[in-house]
Amino acid sequence: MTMHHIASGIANGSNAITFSNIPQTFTHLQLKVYGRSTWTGGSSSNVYVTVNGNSTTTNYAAHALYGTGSSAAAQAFTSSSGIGYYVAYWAFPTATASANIFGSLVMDIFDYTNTSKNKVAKMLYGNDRNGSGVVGVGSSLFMQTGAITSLTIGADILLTAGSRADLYGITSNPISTGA
Amino acid sequence: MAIRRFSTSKPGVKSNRFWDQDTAQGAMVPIGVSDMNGTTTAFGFGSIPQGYQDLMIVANIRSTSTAAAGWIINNNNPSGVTYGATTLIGNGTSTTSTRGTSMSYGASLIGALGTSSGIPATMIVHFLNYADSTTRKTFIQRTASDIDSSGFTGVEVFTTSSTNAITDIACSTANASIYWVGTATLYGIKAGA
Repeated sequence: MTMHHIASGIANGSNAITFSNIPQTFTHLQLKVYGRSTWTGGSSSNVYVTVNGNSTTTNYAAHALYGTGSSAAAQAFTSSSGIGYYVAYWAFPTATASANIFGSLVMDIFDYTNTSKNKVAKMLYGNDRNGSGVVGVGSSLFMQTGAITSLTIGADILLTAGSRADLYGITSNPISTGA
Repeated sequence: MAIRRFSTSKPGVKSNRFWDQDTAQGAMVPIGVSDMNGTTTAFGFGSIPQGYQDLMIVANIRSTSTAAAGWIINNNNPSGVTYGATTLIGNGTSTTSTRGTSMSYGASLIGALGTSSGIPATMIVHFLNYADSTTRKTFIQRTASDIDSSGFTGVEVFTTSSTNAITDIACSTANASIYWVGTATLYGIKAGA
């Protein structure tokens, strides 16, 4: 099994990052996002990832298990919640955080080219602001069986300048052959 | 082509085995490994190359003590650098979340690893955007430590007060009686060719 870089995107606070035409030659995907949101409505921000440009709210669900530093809690979104994207719940700091504080998100999407299964993402994420912050694990469901060909980071809530996203493909081939 | 290894002259507790990144295949390149046989009080990686996008440590280790230990970045340079941390832990009976603020090193889950012989804990630590010098360094860790009737699984995020690029990562403790057993490997994650 080997890991291969597919593409990178740099945020500017004004536009979402989109990875389109994702190669269908890998077994799994890993998305790594280093970021901070432009949102000012709270101290931690969700990170939203739209799959295949599909923002139909009934197609998505999500769960999170997270800690705030003082309590552990869980959060759920169902197809009736109206989310319309994968959700990393409270993953990143917002524009209200001290300068230069960013969060980390590592999202794995297994078997993304399979056309007979819905697509589930699992996530590890967190942001610490030295006195506040959130760390968590999450899952998100995209209830469509088509292969994943594009991912958009920053739907609804954008990422500030200095944020970035990197997409990797994971092969199941022997290391001697690569992808 | 096979991955080649070569030695570094960096003295002290740092890893003395490094791979040639140019010959490694894929985006995930082993940079160094630290083997610990129970006589090591600190382990880590120095002179970290700055040409990757991210770093990742994969550790399969246990300690000889439950004393607190944690990550130290860049030998705590600049002077006065501090660490904040937020944790989420499940221990089989309950879930808790704790916080560390303005700590002198990135302590907590590491110091709680199991001490039972033959039962190592597993940690994966991601250092995203580690070579950037404009944002405060943050890293996130996933830990699993199961010791049959006890243990925990948890995640933790750290942020330092420094924006310096990460060139040195060490795991250490103020308690000199703690020793490590196992292996930790540092990987560089490429973005681009």
